[in-house]
Parts: sequence; structure tokens; C-alpha cells
Amino acid sequence: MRLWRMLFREACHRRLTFAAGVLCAAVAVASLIAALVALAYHDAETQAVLERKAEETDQLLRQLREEMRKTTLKLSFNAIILPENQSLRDWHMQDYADEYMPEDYVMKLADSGIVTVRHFLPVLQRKVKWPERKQSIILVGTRGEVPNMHKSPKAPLVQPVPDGTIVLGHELHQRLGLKTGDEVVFMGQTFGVHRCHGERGTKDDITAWIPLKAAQELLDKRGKINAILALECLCVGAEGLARVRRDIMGVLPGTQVIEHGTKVIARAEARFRVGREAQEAYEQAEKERAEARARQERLAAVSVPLILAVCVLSMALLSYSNVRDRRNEMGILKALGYGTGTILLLVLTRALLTGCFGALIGTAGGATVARWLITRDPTAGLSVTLFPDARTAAAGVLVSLLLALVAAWIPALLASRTDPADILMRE
Amino acid sequence: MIEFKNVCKTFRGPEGPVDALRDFSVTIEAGEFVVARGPSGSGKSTMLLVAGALLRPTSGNLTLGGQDPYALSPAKRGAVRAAQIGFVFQQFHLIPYLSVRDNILAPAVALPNPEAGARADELIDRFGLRERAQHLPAQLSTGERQRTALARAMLNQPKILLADEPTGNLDEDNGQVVVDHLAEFVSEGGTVLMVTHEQTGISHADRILRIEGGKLVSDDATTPHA
Repeated sequence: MRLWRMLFREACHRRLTFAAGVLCAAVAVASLIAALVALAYHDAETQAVLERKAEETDQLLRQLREEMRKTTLKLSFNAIILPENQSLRDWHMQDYADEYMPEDYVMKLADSGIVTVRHFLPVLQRKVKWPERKQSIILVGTRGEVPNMHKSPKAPLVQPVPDGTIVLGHELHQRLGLKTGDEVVFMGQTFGVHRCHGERGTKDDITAWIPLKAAQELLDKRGKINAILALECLCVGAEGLARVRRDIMGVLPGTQVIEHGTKVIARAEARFRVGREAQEAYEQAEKERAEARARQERLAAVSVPLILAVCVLSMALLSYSNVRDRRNEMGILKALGYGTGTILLLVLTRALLTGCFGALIGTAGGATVARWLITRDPTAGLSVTLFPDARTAAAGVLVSLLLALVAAWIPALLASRTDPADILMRE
Repeated sequence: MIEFKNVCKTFRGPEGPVDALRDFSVTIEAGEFVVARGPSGSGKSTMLLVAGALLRPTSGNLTLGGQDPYALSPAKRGAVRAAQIGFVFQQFHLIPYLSVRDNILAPAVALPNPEAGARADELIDRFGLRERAQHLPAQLSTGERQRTALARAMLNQPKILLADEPTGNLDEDNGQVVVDHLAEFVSEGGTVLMVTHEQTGISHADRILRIEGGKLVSDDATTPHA
């Protein structure tokens, strides 16, 4: 007969106490596995959440950087050229000029050879009533930038509006229920909607852009514009504007030049703020996830050792009770020649058997408990696998076997020291 | 074979030391059937435990086949017990969760032997336990239990059988069967030292030792049995 057969027979004979030992080991392993699986799930979810946030933030920052590149390309600044007799007070108040200058000015500038400005953008801008829709809007007629002939052509900073089309600000297309491709009648003329802008939170939201020529006709200002945007002025620093102003006014003496930076800076700041907020939102999410994990860790750090301690104590008591019940048997076995090592092996192997069964049941039970806990949270976004990964399962088995050994160690020593003479003398 | 030389065994009792064996000397030769008798508390069982290498004498010497088992390490002493000595007890001391066959095979764990299974089956047949081979001790009669215990004692083909009141819990017929088996073991060259206070077994004994107060008071040879 082999030791295994004895163990198996004994476990079957005292099946209740054996099952109680298995249950204790299973509870211990289940608590550990549940904690590990829940923490692993939390980590996986944190990674997914932060990756999503990071992607969103990156996308936003990329978009902002692109916008900033367009707005402040090469750290240049923009200026605006207004008719000489335009009241700056009025311009600041209404954000457009009510005085006009010839459209040819822009060509003069482009051909002038000045080196401090890269692009010129002629515009005709005015606040008007959209008679067909009974809306007050800002109308901007534009033909796209005119490159300085002395500079190498670059990607256009402002896309021209194609002939026969209109570009609408967010508020306008939303309120009027228009979308790209629609046809719309504006001041008696039909335009196809070329693009609908997203919300910018500026006057752009109530602005409609149409080709310069169409605007000149509608506003009865043929050949006229009321501002030229000087884009990418290259003289930065304190002298930048004075230099640009000197150059431009040298070509167009009947104009005045002001820096168009306030809006640019405000937009830049707004964009930086959005970017910063996105970054802060990411950091906040990261912090919240870290705090939630720390809470889970603290809970696990208290509850798991407590459960393990209660279980190992229960297992020790069960093991002691088993050894006490089998005291006569141990004495007889020693009388039959069983050595101390064999008796130790008999008790400890039984404990290991308990630990093995406990590990199997506890691993499945712990994973199920963790799954139940996780799925109770309606915000849980990841799918949960039924079984933990190999490392966690191995940790469960190892802990179970270790606990079983620790619990059975003293009872095993007591059993191995049973004096057969003492047992037989009591007959 | 078994030699007690001035063996003393003293226990600590609640009212002071108790001498269970006092200057006990006797030699039992191989192939002898020796019965030890005496009143209760005379030291018979202590003598048996000392002879079984289970209870170290306080003083004096015991040798088994010329070897002092108490001079050996506990592990080696256990090996000597497993290989050379079989025990039969009044209370049978069978393992309750093992079948008759597994109980008989229990000593094979201490002394692994590939032929143990065949030997167990041989003993099962010899002791008339074939029908009961897969039964648990609780399902056996007392006679069957003692026969199982006897078969277990003989599994490793020991040289010595130590029997402590082996018929104490049996009726006369079953007691006689057990004693007959002990006698058969002696006839095959084994040595039996049986402690009893009954008449059963006397007829097979080569010698009868009388022990009183821990001392050997008589050592009588009997008429040779058939």
C-alpha cells in the first residue's frame, strides 16, 4: 500500500473535516485571487481610460498646434491695414472698418518688394441684415491671400471661398438648419454652402464668408475693400510693428497699420487654455484612478491578510483536531515501524492535498467573486475573463499550499512525536 | 534472541517513582513460544514494550539478536521494529478507515516491499479473511479483527511476535484460533512472547514466565507441545 492510498482513504473517512479544511483554504485563496483580479482589472481599466484620454488630449493638442502654426507661423505676427481716415475707435468698437480703399492696394503691396510681410489678404467686411432669413450677420468678402511676390509660395494660410459659394459660422448654420451642399439665397443671390464651421466662441460664429467680388457687388462696393490683413509679418520684437508700418506706409501712404495681435493672442490663449484643460483633465483622471487603486489596495491590504489569518487558524485547528483524533493511530503506526518523517509526511501531505483542492476551488471562486464585484459597477467598461492569468493562479496555488503547510506544521510535529508506548500503556 | 539483562523501568507517578520492572533478566531463544503471566500491574506489558523497542529501560540492557535497539537512532530503531517485530494487541488497533487488506498492508509503508501485495493476499487466505478483504474493521467480528491484526503483524515476515493479551477480547474459540496461529508461526521458526493472564495459550508455550511486582519470580519450562 502506498501513502497516497492511506491519505485518500483517510480523507474519505473524515470527509467533513477534510471538506472544512478545503473550504478554509478555498476562502483564503478566493480572497487573495479576488483582490488580485480586481486590482489587475482596475489597472487594465486605468490603462484603457488613460490611453483614451491621452489620445483625446493628443488629438486636441495636435489640432491646437496646427491652428497655432497657422496663426503664429514662424513666430511672426499679423497686422491690419486700414484706410487712413478710418476711426480706430469705431474699428475697435465694431471690429470692421466703415471706410474703404481700392482693392488694387493689395497688388501694389504684393509687387512692392517689401520683405517684412509674407502674405496679404484683402477683405470687405460689414455687419449686414440677411433679408431672406431676417438675421443680422457679419459678412466677409475675401479672395484669399495674395503672396508677396518676393517670397517663395507657401501653403495658403486662409483658404479662399470658391465662386458661387458661402461659408457659414457655427451659429448661423445651426440656427438656419443649413449644411454643406445646401443652396441658400443671400441678399437675392444664390450660394451653395461650401463649408459649415464648428463652434469657435467668437464673432466667427455669426459670420458668413463669400467671394470678395460677390461681396463687393452685394454691398455695392465694386473694386473696394475696407481692410488688408498683412499676414506673417516677420519682424518680431519691439521694433517689429514699427518696421512693418514703415514699409507698408512707404508703399501705401493713404493707410494706417495696426497690429492684429490681440485677437491672435486671445485665440492662442484660448487654445492653450483648452489644451491645458485637456491636460489637466488627463492628470485629474490619472489622479482619480490612482486614488481609487490606493483605496482598493488599502482594503485588500487589511481584508486579505485578515481572511488569510482566520483561515490559517481554522486550518490549524482542524489539522490539530485531526491529529488528536488519530493519536492512537499515529502511535500504532509508529509501533509498526513508521518513522517520524513518514508521520510528518502523512500529516503534511494531507495538508497539501487540502491546499491543492482549496486552491482549485478558491481560484475559480475568487475569480467569480471578482467578476461579480466588477460587473456590479455600471461604469466598468472592460470585459472580465472568468479565469485569472497564470501568474495570479500560480500565486493562489502557492499561497494555498503555504498556508496549508503552515497550518499543519505544529500538528504534524505533535503527531510525529507521539510516543507509541504511551498509547499502548493506556490499554 | 531476546535478552533482558538487569532491566529496570521506573515511571514517575503522582505519588513518586513506580518501578514497573526491577532487575529483570531473561533470555528467550529463537523459535520459543514464551508466555508471560502475572497479576494486573505486575509489569508484563512494560516488559513487552521494552522487548518491542518501544520503551527504553531506565537501566539494564535489552538485545534483540545480539543488537541493542536502544543504541540505535529512532529512525533505525523504527526500521528494526518494522523488519523484525510484529505486534498483536488486545484492542486490535486496526486503522479504522482502511480495509482488511489495506490494514494488513499498512506495515509495507514503513518497509516497502514489492511483494507485499502477494504476501497480504496469502495471509488473507491463511487467516480466512478472503470474504472480508475489502471490509472496514467496524464491519468485522472481534475474531476477524484479531486475525486481521495478526496478519498485519506477520506481513513483513518478522522474527518475533509480541502479543499483549491477544485473546483478551475474544471468545474461547476465537482465542484458540489466534493462539493456534501464533503456534504455527513458532513452528515456522518465529519467536513469540505473549503476555496473558488467561489459560489460553498455555498448552502451546515452551516456557511460562511469572512476573510479580516487576520481577521475574519464575521461569518454568512446560511439556513440549505436539
